[in-house]
Amino acid sequence: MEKTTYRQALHDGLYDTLKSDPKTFLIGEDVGRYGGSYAVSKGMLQEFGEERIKDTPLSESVFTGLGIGAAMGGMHPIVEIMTCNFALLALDQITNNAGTLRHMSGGQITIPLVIRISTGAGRQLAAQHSHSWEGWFSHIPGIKIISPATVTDARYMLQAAVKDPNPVLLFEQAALYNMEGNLEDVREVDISKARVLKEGSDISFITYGASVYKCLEAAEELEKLKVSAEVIDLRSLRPLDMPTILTSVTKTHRALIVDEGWRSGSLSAEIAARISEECFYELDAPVLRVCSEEIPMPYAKELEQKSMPQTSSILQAAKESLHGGY
Amino acid sequence: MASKERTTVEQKIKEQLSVEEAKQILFDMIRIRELEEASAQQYSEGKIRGFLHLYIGEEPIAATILPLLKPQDQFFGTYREHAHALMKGITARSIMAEMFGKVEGCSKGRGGSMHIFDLSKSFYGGNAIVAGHLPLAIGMALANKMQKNDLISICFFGEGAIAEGEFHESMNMAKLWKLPVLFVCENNYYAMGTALERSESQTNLIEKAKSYKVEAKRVNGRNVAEIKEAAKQAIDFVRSEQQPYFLEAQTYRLVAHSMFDSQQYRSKEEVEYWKKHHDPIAEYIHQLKCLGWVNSNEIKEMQDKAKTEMDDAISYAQAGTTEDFQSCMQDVLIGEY
Amino acid sequence: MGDINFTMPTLGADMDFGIVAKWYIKPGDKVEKGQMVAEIETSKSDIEIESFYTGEVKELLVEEGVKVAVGTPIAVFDVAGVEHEEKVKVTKPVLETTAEKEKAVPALKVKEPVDHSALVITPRAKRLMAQNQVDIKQVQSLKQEGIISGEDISSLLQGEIATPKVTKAEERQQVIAKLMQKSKQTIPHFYLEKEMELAQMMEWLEGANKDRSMQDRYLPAIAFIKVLAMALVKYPRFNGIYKDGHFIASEKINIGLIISLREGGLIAPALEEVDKKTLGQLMTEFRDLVTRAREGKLKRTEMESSTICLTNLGDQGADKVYGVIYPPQVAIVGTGQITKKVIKQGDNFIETPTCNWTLSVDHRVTDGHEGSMLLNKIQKLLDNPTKWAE
Repeated sequence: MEKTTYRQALHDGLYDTLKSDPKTFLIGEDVGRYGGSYAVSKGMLQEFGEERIKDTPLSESVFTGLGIGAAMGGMHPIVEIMTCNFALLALDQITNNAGTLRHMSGGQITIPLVIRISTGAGRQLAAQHSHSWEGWFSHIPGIKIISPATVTDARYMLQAAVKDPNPVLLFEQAALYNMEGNLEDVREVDISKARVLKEGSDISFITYGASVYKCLEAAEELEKLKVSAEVIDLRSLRPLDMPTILTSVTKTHRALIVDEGWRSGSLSAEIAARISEECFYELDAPVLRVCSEEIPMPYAKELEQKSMPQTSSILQAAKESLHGGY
Repeated sequence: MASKERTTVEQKIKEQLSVEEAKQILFDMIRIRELEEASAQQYSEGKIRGFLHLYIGEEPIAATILPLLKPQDQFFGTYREHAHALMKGITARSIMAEMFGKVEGCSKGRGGSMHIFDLSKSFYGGNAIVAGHLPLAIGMALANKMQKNDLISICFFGEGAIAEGEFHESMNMAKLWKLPVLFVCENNYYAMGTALERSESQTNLIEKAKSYKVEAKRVNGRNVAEIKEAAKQAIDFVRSEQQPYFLEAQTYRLVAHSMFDSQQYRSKEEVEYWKKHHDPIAEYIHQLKCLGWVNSNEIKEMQDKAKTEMDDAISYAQAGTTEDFQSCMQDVLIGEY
Repeated sequence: MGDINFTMPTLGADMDFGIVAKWYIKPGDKVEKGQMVAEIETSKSDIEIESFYTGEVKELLVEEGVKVAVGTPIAVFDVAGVEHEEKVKVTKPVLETTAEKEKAVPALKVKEPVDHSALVITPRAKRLMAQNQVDIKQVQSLKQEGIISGEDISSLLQGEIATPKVTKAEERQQVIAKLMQKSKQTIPHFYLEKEMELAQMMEWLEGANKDRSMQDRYLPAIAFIKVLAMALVKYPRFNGIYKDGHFIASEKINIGLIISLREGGLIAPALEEVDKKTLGQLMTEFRDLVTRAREGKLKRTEMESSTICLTNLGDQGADKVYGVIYPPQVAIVGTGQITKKVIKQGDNFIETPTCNWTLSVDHRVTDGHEGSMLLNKIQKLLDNPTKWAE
């Protein structure tokens, strides 16, 4: 197995995608000369030229809409929105156009578009740059939401997303760009399925993105207490791979959802509701959640870390669940 | 009105249009009017629901510009788009069935009046978020340009859209990236109920486009010949220069914004004045009659034909069926979801 | 003048590390504020960094090509007007470990587990109980006090009493202690005792066992069980439960056998419908029951179905045992070891086998008169093995 970083894996995945599909092109703020805000597209301009690596003005709504229009016109655009908070400026285009046009046109319109967006807190970027909006976007039918947690997914999810005929939002985890990991010996990945990263029998941790590693760490701690936790990396946030979630909860009878988003109206709420709807009678404890505190993200490091899910809070919640929720 | 001015209008018609062409445009204007009046009636009978925005008073613009496009040129319109759909070649049956919410409609009855789509006619809606479709049109233009298919995209919107950021961002990017897109602003002076001067600090709209270095021209939206001349020029420019173009057609909506609109924002007298003196169809008929290009019998014939077409469309829509709900659950995404 | 650390700057929110690609300065050089002092390689690009101080380079702490975390001192400057600062010698990149992060981050507030004495039945447990017609009374909360979980039910259903697996012997002993205490406190016990003569029974057993292998031999204990059952057919007021102020006789005669577990504690699985079974059947079932009891593999029904108990301490060498009634049952029979007693038969003194039987009875249900009749009946049956043994 080859070692690589999440950033490098994303870079290589983007390179391969542009190389193999002539219909693809990358647009976004500072994707070209600057090399990408997170350096994922570093060197691409030199390799692929201005025709295919296009710097845009600071006009998120319009360049996102332009991506949708170009996809309708037969191209395979890759739109980069620098961070997910800027994606709010494109919310209308994503919701009212990307998510809607195919159905509203009676199935006539096809939008093979990928939007890359970085997400997540933990970099002391304070309240306007630390959101995890992927849960919010996953409210919308008509788009797919995926988020890689492993370097392997970082490497191959984009290619799968580009091959998908639907609009796909790929949320890159800002906290993981520098993470090193082992690249698995695969050539492609399936973006429709969640993945059990660690098998267990006593409790299911359901999570995605950067929280995956905190869950794995908590699971390791629990092993010492002879408690076997299963860790599920959702990978696809919409549609949710419910069979994998339900199979796990049916096995362990306890579920803990870890989501960096805010608790209210969140992805974690959705998953908890579905578990209750679909396997309530398998539960031996209430479905519990560890989410970010419901405050605008503070800047100061300690406060920021306190606001987010951590291994310790996951452990504590897990113990609570194992005590039947009392 | 001075007879000299009248003469100028008629001369322009002779310059720009053949008799056949002129008569076809008149017939299309009558068809549009008939479609809109039929729609209003069906709405009041409860057959059409939701919002219904009528094009009465603005007919010359769609009737003149759309036939100038290649069939494959992609059209992006607003929610006031029945006329454009008809002009792009979608049948009245298909449009009416859509408004009736029937599966026989071009969008299977999922869109209704505001969301007419027919990709076989390169008709991309029917978009109900003001200015939300401008980015789509420039994106389509980019795709055309990258694929070198010699097609242009054309995007209609009202002057209300100009207050939206997406108008400005789109103008900027279209020019910056040299995208072959024709923007047509149908300026009817009221964004729903907000008059232009209450909405814009700069009411000279082509100045706004020009500030982005986009080629721009203003025409009288009731003057068929003027529209034809400018539109043809604009379309040729966009296609050959691979550059955007902004065309403003000044017009007046002779009816309410939509069906539930008591028009508190403008006086009855104002509307009556326009109806009486500037109904574009009456004006155009008068011009063609003066030229001796049409007579009353022909006009009656056109009206009857248009009426028959719309009656048939209503019968067709009436006989249509609602889409099966299971089928309606499809097309959210391609593949399983 | 004073020393000051020049640290690896952070040049972006997502910069964790930097590599000193090139030093532009060396010890002894004068540096001006704003002067470029090094080229730093980051994951994004190479960036030149400037000095924030005017002074003299005293020492470079990091060699070119070394990757260090942001904030790590990479050089020491001697700067005017700065108090002496202890410099940090850097030998390797200082990485922030997760463990350190964790330390710095106290846990989010999570509800403390609270004592919850009311019995909670989880959704899964409720479903399993409904599907398998399990009564809540049959269920024990084994894993978490106060909570009946699906695991409690499923282990019951899988035919395994989870007790040995999850509860320690002392805990089990405590459970028994509580139960017995409750029994003694609530049930008005009275006791009867009779020395039974076993000559006829033993003779019959000897005959019956003559052609049997060791494995198949009938034990006296099994004969006792059978005899007790047959006696109860005649005297049903000892067989059943006391509930809500009334005795409810049981249709079946299921005799609970008190078995002590090797690791401590007692259990009382039942041989069911003893009156209807042959000695052979009972012997097979008895062996099976004892084996499984000691392996912790008893079935739920066996654990819950007894209608009267028999405690046999004969093997342990006790002469007699006065049992404590197992609620809500109303009687328990105890048997001691079989001994030989010399009796006078005609003119001769002979040895004959005997055994002490005791009877503990709930006085709310019956009395000594009926108890005596039961014991007499037992003696009668012991004297006539052919009546029950064939």
